[in-house]
Amino acid sequence: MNRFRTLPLLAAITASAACARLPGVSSTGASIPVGVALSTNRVDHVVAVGGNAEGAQGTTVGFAVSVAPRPWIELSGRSASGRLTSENARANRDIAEVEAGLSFLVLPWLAATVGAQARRYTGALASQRWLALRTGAEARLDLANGARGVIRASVLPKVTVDGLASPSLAYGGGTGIELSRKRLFASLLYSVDRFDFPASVEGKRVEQLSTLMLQAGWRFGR
Amino acid sequence: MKIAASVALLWLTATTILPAQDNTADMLQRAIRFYDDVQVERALTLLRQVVSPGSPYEVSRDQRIQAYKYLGASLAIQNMRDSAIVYFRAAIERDPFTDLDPRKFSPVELTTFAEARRRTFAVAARPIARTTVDPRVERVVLSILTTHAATVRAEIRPAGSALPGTVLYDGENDGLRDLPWSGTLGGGRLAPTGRYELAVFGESRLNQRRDSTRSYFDLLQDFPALEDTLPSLRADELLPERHPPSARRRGLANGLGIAATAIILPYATGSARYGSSRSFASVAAISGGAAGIYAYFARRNNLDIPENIAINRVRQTRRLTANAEIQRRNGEKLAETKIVVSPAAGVGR
Repeated sequence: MNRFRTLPLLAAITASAACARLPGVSSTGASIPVGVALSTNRVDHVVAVGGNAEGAQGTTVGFAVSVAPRPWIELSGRSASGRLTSENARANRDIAEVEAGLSFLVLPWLAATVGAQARRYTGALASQRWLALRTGAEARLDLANGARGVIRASVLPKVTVDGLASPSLAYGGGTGIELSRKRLFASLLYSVDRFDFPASVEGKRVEQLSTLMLQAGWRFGR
Repeated sequence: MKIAASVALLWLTATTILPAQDNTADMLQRAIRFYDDVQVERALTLLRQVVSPGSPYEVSRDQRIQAYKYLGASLAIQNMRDSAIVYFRAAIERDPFTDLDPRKFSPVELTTFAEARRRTFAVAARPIARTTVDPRVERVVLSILTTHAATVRAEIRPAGSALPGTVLYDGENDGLRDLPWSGTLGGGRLAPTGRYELAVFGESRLNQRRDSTRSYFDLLQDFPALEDTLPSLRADELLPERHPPSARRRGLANGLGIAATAIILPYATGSARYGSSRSFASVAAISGGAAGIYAYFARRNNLDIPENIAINRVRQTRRLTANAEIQRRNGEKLAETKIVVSPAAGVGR
């Protein structure tokens, strides 16, 4: 088994162990809210070089955990992995990714976010590792009865890709809704990351990763 | 001549305001010494000087009472019983607690004194000395007296109160009686800090004469400092429990904003040209729009914010719990209350 396929499982075990040690999830009366969730993601990865685009789609599953030690700050971690298939069978690839983030409310409805992510594509011939730092903002819009909308925008100021020059421009956005009912929460989020690489002899290279994530989880603690 | 008259006047004035009590005390001491030495005639002479209206010296109440007592005793020894009784009664009327020590006075004197008490009716309450007691285990002892057999009623009440007081004793009495008081008023509650009176009413069994007296005292509850309970939560300490009416339109607008963002995002990132990003965006747009419409209708009839209501309830409960704990601790402190009783002159403040 590809070691990157086991990443979500490892992340889930690690996060569960961490949660078990947190007072927030102790059986004696939690105080720090901790959310754990499972997600399934529909992923569309498109690579366009010199006007020729090739896409690969697939489904990944993952695990997410979030901790809010203060009402205005939240730490989060996420992992996912799966297989993307393409019309060109040689372009089929596995994808595994982990991401950690920190968000803090600057206004009751606006959070500033920073984070780091690692992603690996593993194909038949080679594998490629992506490392990126992300910073941005997230608007949290009140809807009703535990429902809220989310609109995200971010830039990735530092991205390194094995075998490629760093993108000259990388940014992303997303939107969706989150539902919360007592300790149960769920979300449906659509996000797009775009990476513009410097032009080469083959032409301009653009990579896009679109994700539609459906996530459901349970909140422990306060 | 004028100077001599002025000096004489000054001397006369000075002799009048000189510490006459010392002279009276000296005369009384000498008289008692004569009495003890059975030189009764010489004692009588001095004692008569003490009580004489013409005495140039100031005579205190206690000195006068003592002089009357020894006059009565001296006359009793001389078998002048009626005169002895007159002086004994004079002493008893001024201080019903006047008594003869049986180890010092003879049976004749004691018998004569007893007769004087039978002929005189008075009730009295001994002035209360300053004392501190723990009402759980100790008592304030109040002393009352009737000069002879009588029915007596003693009660305690706030000074100047016209209401019936707490009855300490109601029954027959002859002589001195100690009344232990727990410091409580009706209902068993501890008397609050303030001025009180011990009122004693009596009616003689021998001659049906009535008498009454009042003794005033101050009572202070002494307990450790109490904690203040937490004040009511201020408005800024509570979360709003209802959305403003505009929240309906805002919820709809937010939902539509999410839908619009989802539609625009593929175009803004250029991903609309490739792959399935647009279908993802459509799903997000539909769910966002639906959520906005749901928000509008959900809030049409209910603007409550259940989360805030729950949080406010927790805060209120926390405050009530803290106050209950403070009240419990205060109750424990109050249970340790001691009462300090001290004499007070005059009527209630």
